[in-house]
Order: sequence, then C-alpha cells, then structure tokens
Amino acid sequence: MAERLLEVKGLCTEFKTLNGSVRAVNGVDFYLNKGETLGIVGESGCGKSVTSLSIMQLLPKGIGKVVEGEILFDGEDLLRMPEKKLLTIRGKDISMIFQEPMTSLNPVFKIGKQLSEVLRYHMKMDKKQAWEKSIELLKSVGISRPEMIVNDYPHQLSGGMLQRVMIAMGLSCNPKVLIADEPTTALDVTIQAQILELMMELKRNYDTAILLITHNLGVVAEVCDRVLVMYAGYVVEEADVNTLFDHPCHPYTQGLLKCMPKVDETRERLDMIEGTVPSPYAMPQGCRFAPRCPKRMPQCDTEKPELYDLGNGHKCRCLLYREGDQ
Amino acid sequence: MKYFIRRVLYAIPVLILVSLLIFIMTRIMPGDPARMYAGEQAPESTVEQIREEMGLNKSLPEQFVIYMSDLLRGDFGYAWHTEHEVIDDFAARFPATLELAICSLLLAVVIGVPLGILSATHKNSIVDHFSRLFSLAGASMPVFWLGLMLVLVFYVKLGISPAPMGRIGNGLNDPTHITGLFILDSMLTGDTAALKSSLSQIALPAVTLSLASMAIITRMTRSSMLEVLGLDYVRTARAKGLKERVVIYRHAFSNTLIPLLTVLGSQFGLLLGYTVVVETIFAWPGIGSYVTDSILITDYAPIQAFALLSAVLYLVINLVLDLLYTVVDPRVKYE
Repeated sequence: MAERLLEVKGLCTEFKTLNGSVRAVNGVDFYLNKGETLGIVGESGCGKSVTSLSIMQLLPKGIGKVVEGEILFDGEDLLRMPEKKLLTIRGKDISMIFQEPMTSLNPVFKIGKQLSEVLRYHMKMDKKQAWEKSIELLKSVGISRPEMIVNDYPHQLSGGMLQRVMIAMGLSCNPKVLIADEPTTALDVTIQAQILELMMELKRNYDTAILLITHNLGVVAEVCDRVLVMYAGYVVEEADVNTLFDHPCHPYTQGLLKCMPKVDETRERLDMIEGTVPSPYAMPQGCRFAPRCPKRMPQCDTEKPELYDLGNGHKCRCLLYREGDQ
Repeated sequence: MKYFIRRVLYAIPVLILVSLLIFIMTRIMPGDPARMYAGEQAPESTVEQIREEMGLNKSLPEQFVIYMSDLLRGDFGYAWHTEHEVIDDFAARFPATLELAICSLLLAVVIGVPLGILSATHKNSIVDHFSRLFSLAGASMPVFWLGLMLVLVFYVKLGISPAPMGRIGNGLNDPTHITGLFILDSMLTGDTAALKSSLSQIALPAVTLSLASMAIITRMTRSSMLEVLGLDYVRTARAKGLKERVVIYRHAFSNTLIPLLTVLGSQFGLLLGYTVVVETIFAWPGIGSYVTDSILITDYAPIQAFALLSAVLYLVINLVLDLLYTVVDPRVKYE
C-alpha cells in the first residue's frame, strides 16, 4: 500500500461572524499518499480553501478556528502540535501556493530575499548559499535570466512569473506535500497550462504529493489522481479521477460535469445547476444539495445522508446509494 | 535628481507667497510697534521718530519691497525688543527648540509605533483598548492644559520634577557649547550633573509636546498594521513557517512605513506650532517663547522670520520624506 503522508479526520472549521458561528467545513475526511495528486473541487464557498488553510493553520486569527478533528502528518496531529514544532513543518515539509500571485509576495522585498528567507530559515543556509540556491530554483521553474530576476521586486514581474516564483518558493525545501489553492485561477489560459505543466514536472522530479484546490474540472482531469467533490462544507463524492469522470454518482457531480463544454458538441447553451449554494445561516435540514437536486426524493429533505462506500475507494454522500434504499 | 531640482524650484513661489502672507498678517495685527517700543507716556513726536527709524512710515508696498530685498540679502531684520539682529537671536535660541522637538518626536515614535503595533496584533485585547483610549485622550487634550496639569502634578504636588524654568537647573552652568543641544553636549563633555539636570528639565515639556503626536502615530500605526496583517503576502510569510515576530516586524511593519512617514511629516508641522505654547509654559528659552514675546509687543521682524523658517523647515522635511519613500517602497519612483 502507498505511504500515507497526510490524513484528515473529521475536520470541522468554524468562522465567527456577527450573526454567530458558521461552520464552513463539516466533518471532512481524506488522505493523501506519497507522490499523489489529490484534487478538491467545488463551487465558491464550499469549504475547499478553508480546508487547505486549516491544514496549514493559516486561518485568520480570532475569526476562523478548527473546532473538531485531526490532521495527521507523518502520524502526528498538526492541530495539537506545539507552535514551535509546527513552524518547522510549515513551509518545509508542507508548503502552500496561493490563488493570487500578484498579492502573495511582499512588495517591498526583492524576489531573491523572499526566496532565500525560506532557505535560510529551514535549510540553515548562509546568505550567499541561499541567494545562489534561489537563482537555481528560479531557473528550475523556467524563469530565464534568474540572476537578474532575484534582484527585481514583485511589481516588476508578470502574474505568471510571480506564480513561478511562488512555486519555486513552495518547492525550495523539497516539501513532502504541496498545497496549491487555485494556483491558476488568476492567470490567463496559456499561462495556466504552463504552470500546471510545471507543477506536474516538479512532482515527477521530486515526488511531492500535491493537494490541488480548484473549481476547474478541466484542471482536475488533467493532473489529478483522485478527486474530492465538496458541497456546502461536506465531501459529497470521492473517487479516482477516471471513475469520477466516467461514472459520477452524486447528482451534484453529475451536474458539474454537465456544465462543462465539450469539444465535440454543438450546444447553444451550457447546462447549469438550478438555484444557488444555500446560505450558511439557513442550511437545509436533510441533504444540503436537496433543494437544487434533480433527483430529489421526499426523504432527502429530512434525512442527512452519510458518505456511502461504493467500493474501490469510490464514496458518495447521497441517499440514492444507501443500502436497502436502492 | 531632476525631481529634486524641480521640487526645490517649486518651493520658491511657495516661499514668496508665504512671505507675502506673513507680511500682511503682521501688519493686520493690532498694536503699533513704535508706540510699544517708545512706551505709553512717550510724546507723539518721539513715537513718530521711532516709526521712521523702523521704516513703518513708508507705504505698505514699499515696506514689502524693502522686506523682500532684505530677505534676499539674508537680512531677517532687527528685533527691537531684544535689540539684536533676528538672525543672532535665532542662532542662540534654535538649539533649545531643536532639542525639545527632537526629544518629543523621538518619544512619540519610540512609544507610539510599538504601542500601535501591539494594539494591532492584539486587537480587542486590554492592550488595544488601553491604546485606543490613550490615543483618543492624547489627541483631544489641549496642549496648554496638559502642560499646566503636568506641572501641577509632577512639580507642585509630587515634587519629582524640577521647576518649569528653562533648560538647566538653578546654580548649574550650561554645558560647554558644542552643538547647543544640552543633552548631547553634556554627554560629549562627560558633564553628568548637567546631563541629569537637562534631562529632568526637558522631561515635562517633551512629554507635553509629544503626546498629541504620539496619539496620532499610535492610531496610524495600528490602523495600517491591521490593514497589512490581513493581506495575502503576510499569509505567505506565515505559510513559509516564519516566526510570528518575523512576520510582524519584517513583513508587515515594513509595509506600513509609507503612511507612517507621511504622518511624521505632518506631525512635524504640528510640533512647530505647539512649541510656541509649550515653551511659554515651561519658560523654555527657544524660538517658540521668543516668538510669543515678539507677538505680545508686536515686533514684526522675529514673527516674520519665525513663520518663514517654519515654512522652509516644513518644505525641507516633506521633500526629505518624499525622497525617503523611494527607499522604503521600491514601487515609488520619481521621474
């Protein structure tokens, strides 16, 4: 069996708002194996980014908080780890890249300084070593003239270049896990393809496991091994990528796939899922997708579905798959 | 460099306008300098003679032309009430004001900035509540009242502070003149008695002068830190696994320097204005109290020189700050 690097069990994250606490992530379970790419997909607000920030414990202080669950990394629970130890893992063994490369780098420091900071801190390199390693890293993410770019400031580079810098930074300490939160969303399509290609190449070279958060199913199909589909704070379906695209089970996943344009089809309009994501203050009593579900049954409004195992690692949170109901 | 020259050139019309305004304002002021100088009992003929000596019998435009041409020759006029050239009086008194201003600004920054940072990183904690209350109080207390209260409490009631009379205690000699700043001079000459005395003499006026600025600096630091702490690159810094201290002081604070510098510049102007009040309360022999005296006996030349000097200082400080922006923020560039 593949080596389990990261295992999330029963993760619940809450946010304080003026109208009381809101549970953004509700009992999420998943694991990530060595060298694997796991995609988490879902609409805005489904809890996918919050899940990734919970793992890194980068939730906004005093507002977001993990209230339940375990996040096991190499068998140790990150949530119950002393801050000091966590700092040695964060940025070294688990690193993260973000959606907005333009605002994710500090505008007043040179690229080289921001890169070498990680190396000096985690790899205990001296100033000169770290600077040289930074140039090398920039070269490895396909930046030309890296010895000049290290002396540039973030505002002098384009979005694509900055995301490459972020990736270089994320990979600088050869992390075991790279969390990429919508790494291509802010970039234009041609650059998106390059960045994904780069991430895959680096994954092959360094055997890094990637947790890819995205709302783009095309990206998932291209790079992921396994996929989690999230809806309103719950995982609604989990499967390997081929199963998910060939035999989607949850009506939400089916709906998402129908929304994607296909090359061999001529359609005037794309399909869409009726309705909108429920407000966190007024979640449906039963299945959270029920109000928008084309296959809604009477019991969907009253009973909460579990995540039912369909075999071969395929799981689905829908009453249609409850044994005895089928 | 080109930018620098342009800015210096821009300053010229500003200064001409300022001198015109000051000129007009002094002439509007009630009171007749010649009568004040001659005394109430002096006969009208004597007053007329003095008026002629002062050049006040000429028409206003004529007086202005003379004033401007004197200025261009570096002549700031004659102070009748001290019977010295204004420039000599200024030279003698400026170090006292400079020392007071530096101490106040230093106090304001050294206390205000860390308090603002602490307040932002511990939002809604006791520290934060205290700092917000403090900055509200500091900004709303009138300087003259605060000065008198401090004297009342620390000198009259508690007796910890020396009498609010000047820069150095009774019976002590001024430290050997090197820079004119007593604290610095006494340190340089190793004169511990003078150092101790001048420090305790400057404490109350410096606190009085700095409190308003300190309050504004605290608030400004707090609000810009709060803004920066929520930004993506601070999250990135945390994601790198950096210590919270490094995240706050290196990554977040360095991005608040621009608004902070701007505030410092405007605070300097405020400080200059307040020296007039504070120096009078504490009998501080600086330019502020000198100008107060001049205003009270309508001595035009020192008032004009003070206002002009303030304008020049203000322009210079702001130019320096604008140039400093390019140092603290690489995105700022001047053509």
